[in-house]
Amino acid sequence: MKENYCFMVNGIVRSTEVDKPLLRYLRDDLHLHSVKDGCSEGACGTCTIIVDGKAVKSCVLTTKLAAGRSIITTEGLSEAEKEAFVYAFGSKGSVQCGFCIPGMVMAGKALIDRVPDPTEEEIKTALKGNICRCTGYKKIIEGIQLAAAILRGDEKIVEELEKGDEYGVGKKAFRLDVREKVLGYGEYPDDVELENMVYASAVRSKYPRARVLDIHFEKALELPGVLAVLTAEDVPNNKVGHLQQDWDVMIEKGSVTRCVGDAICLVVAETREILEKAKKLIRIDYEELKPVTSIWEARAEDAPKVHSKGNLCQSRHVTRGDAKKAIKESKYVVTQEYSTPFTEHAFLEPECAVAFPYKDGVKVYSTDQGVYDTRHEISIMLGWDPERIVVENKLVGGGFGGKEDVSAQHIAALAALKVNCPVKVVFSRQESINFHPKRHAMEGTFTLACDENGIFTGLDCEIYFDTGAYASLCGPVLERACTHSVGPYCYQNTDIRGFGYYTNNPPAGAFRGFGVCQSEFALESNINLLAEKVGISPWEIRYRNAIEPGKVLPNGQIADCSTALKETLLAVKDAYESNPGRAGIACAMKNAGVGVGLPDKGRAKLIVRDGKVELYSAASDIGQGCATVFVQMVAETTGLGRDMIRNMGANSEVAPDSGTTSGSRQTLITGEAVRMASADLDRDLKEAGGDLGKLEGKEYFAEFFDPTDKLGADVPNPKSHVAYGFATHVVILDDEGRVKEVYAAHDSGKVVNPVAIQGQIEGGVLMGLGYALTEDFPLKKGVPQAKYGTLGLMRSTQIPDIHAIYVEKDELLPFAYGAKGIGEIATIPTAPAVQGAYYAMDQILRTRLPMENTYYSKKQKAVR
Amino acid sequence: MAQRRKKKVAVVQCYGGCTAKEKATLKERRGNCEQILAFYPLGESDTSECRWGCLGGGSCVEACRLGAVRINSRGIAEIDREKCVGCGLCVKACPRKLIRLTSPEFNIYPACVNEDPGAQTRKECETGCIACGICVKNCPVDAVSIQDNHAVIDEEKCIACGMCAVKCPRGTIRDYNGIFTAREEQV
Repeated sequence: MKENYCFMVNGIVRSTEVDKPLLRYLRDDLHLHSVKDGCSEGACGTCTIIVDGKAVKSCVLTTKLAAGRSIITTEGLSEAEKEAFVYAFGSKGSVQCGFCIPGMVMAGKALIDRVPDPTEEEIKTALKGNICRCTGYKKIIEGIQLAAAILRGDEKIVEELEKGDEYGVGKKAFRLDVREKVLGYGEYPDDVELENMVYASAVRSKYPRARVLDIHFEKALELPGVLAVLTAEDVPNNKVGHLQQDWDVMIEKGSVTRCVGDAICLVVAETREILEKAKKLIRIDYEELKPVTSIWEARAEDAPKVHSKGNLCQSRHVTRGDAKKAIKESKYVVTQEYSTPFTEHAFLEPECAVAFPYKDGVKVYSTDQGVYDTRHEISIMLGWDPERIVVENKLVGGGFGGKEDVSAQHIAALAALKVNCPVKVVFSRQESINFHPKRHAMEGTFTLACDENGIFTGLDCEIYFDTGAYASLCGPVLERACTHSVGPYCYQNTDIRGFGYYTNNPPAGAFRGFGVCQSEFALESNINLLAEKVGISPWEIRYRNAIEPGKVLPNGQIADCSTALKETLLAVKDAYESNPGRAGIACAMKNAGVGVGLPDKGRAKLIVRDGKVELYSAASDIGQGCATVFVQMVAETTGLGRDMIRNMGANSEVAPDSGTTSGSRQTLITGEAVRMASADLDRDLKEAGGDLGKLEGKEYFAEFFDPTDKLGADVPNPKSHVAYGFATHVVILDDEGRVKEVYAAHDSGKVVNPVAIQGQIEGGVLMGLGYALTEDFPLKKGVPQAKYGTLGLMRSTQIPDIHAIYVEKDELLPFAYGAKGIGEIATIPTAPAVQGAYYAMDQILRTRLPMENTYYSKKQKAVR
Repeated sequence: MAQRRKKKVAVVQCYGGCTAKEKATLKERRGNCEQILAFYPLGESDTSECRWGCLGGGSCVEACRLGAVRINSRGIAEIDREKCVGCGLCVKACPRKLIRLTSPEFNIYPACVNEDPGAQTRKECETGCIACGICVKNCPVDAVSIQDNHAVIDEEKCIACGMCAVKCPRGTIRDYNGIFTAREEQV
């Protein structure tokens, strides 16, 4: 007789005969979707539940071990607890992408049940097993403190805050998605369940570079429950790619693989279990070939070609003035080589898509950074008119640039059309790590010169990017690395050469910072060396050179009236100067908007329906909060409250294309389109005496486009971008070399949501600290060696005190109420500031990331 | 908000699975651990009893001033973390150096410090670590390693997820909270 495992879940007795991870039982059998599957390895904490009063990872526990126990998930919280957590997390800004949040809530509740008034340290310890990639933990810790206070009766819920009658620009607006994310009922694609839904998964290459000699899938097809096995032959056009279509959907028989993420065949089966079994039955014959594993190998004359046209994927030459001459004539010159690693985005939600036949085509529930981009790539693969494909974003559990390319969406669509029913494709964590494009690894040589007063005269640099197996966004990322390698200063002689090479490493593409993390790390380090030669402080040299309104940036663009770099420098001056020998400083600029002459348009449509304003704009909210920002713009323009405005999300069938969530552009570009449409609505609303009912059925569409000049445009002062954000970070170390405090001062124009921007800054800073100190992506002959738990992601117990400072000027840009983007810039100056702090402490120049010989690297070594 | 002092607690690194102990004269043993060792000099003798595990003589029980240590039904010392304040007296009292101090959040611990080869340990003990390395392979954060023929958890890295305890085929790695592995009094 089979054993029966009996336990209590949220007060109801449940039993099962199957011994499996409790996570799978809770999600698949009980449909408790608050329990998120972030890794199934025990590393991330998104599946945290409470078992007999203890916070436990449900992917580790099994139904067998759970027998006789009492289990609580977010769904099983009391009403008072639910309200306390929703309010606390909403008002403190604890929620961004939301994928880690139910796990955080459960870890928090387990602590509060034991300790009703937990200290900050106790909360950090309790959250040690839960990774958050968005917030930097600070706001989650504050949220748990407030929830505890409410549950003790020391604090009260202010209901007006969530209701949002006051929801305009600059207001402390409660995010739209707090409730569904805290309580876990919000749907990410993996939470979608459709009738007759089946599962598909790719069998991926065993080797980074090998010829596929044969694919034996007959045995898999014979397995009952297996519906189909697809190979390259089943793909109408076997190429996809965000900009360059160089990415094989599947590697066909006889061809050579380019990285371990390459799909060779796609299995479709009725259940997850059958799918896993079937994948193991597939045998692939390979002829293993020597992979190209570095930029230098790719450049070698006799190097194997990763792509038929050669290994040089992209190159850029950005030049202005005469750098050679300027450097030669300068008093001080510094030349230095730098090296930075690949970085994994490590968003908490692995890639997932559900596709099904729809009308005369296919519809895809996606988690991506641009539904129109995904539609475009699928249309290329199918050779279809894009209109036949509908892509709708569910909640997106973090992106950071890593969800700009298609991953699961196109293969889900392919499978759905083959078997003619809904198909879910969900990546395992390791599959995600092996597949999606990383931040480019960089090798670069930077020469910066200045005069006797420390005024910069010229920059010469050569940047080499490893773009791995596929181009992804290599072109624009390399371009931003080049154009931003100059920093937010005002010298006029630059010669910057950038090269992106194909290798057999995992692909590299967009990642928060978009190439600028790499080049500004190098530049800011060189600035410190020049300051030393001149004999002035790192703060002083930056202040002397800082861009200000009306002055000309090194690319020729005239800095606009909103430019506030000097204000950010002044905001951190005291912090920097009061910690001699322990403080490092760095500045950064980052474009908002794609710019460089591209048709970067924001579009929005408002429809008055059922007495409310419906907002349609396909702009992905990947956790940064743009969906809320747009509603705030409508509220600011029309004076309506939050409950009168509904954001209808990113759906290519009903919402106009508003571009990719990339280049820190949504707040400004789409925000302005929303403002324009709202202004039209407001005019009619005033005419109607404020009665929205009179406008029933009316539509207001707006498109925003502020033209820019393309790179190298033949005008004296080309306008590269609509706007730039500026920032200065100061990092302070303690005597052991631990990062004690970070002061992050930002100019992002008008602050739309003061709580959300702090969360963006804190999260960005922590990501930058990881980049500087702990995160790495080791490869062995092109094969990633890291698991999710060993990437070096900072945990709650490691965080320093992060002070998010925003400077708001009176002079603002005339778009989107003067808001500029914050998304990317918060990660950029942190790493060079940490490097500068270490240099101040021990005069050792660390030119590689993650930095060696630090408190953090020693910890790692000591334990080995 | 008041900062509470971070508490330490003691943990006993043996789960008392020694097969020889039952055969031997457990009941005849008298006195504390030191006396047992004096009466039954192990190590070089021909007995097959584990040379590393808890003697069950209760030297630690005697040393503890808070009544936080007892000898349980498996014949080994067990700590009550509610009562334990992490003073370390039991650590000093144990002649086999089996007790160490840790922070309460590390509820997952390998309950064996046996340095003999796996094959020998397998003969001598039902729950001793045989250094098979399954824990090392399954740890998501690379916190477990095999040192001197037994599993060691690096608490700098450990996130107490319990994966090693669930996967351990011998029941060597224990969960003090009694969720991933049963606690003695729950059996």
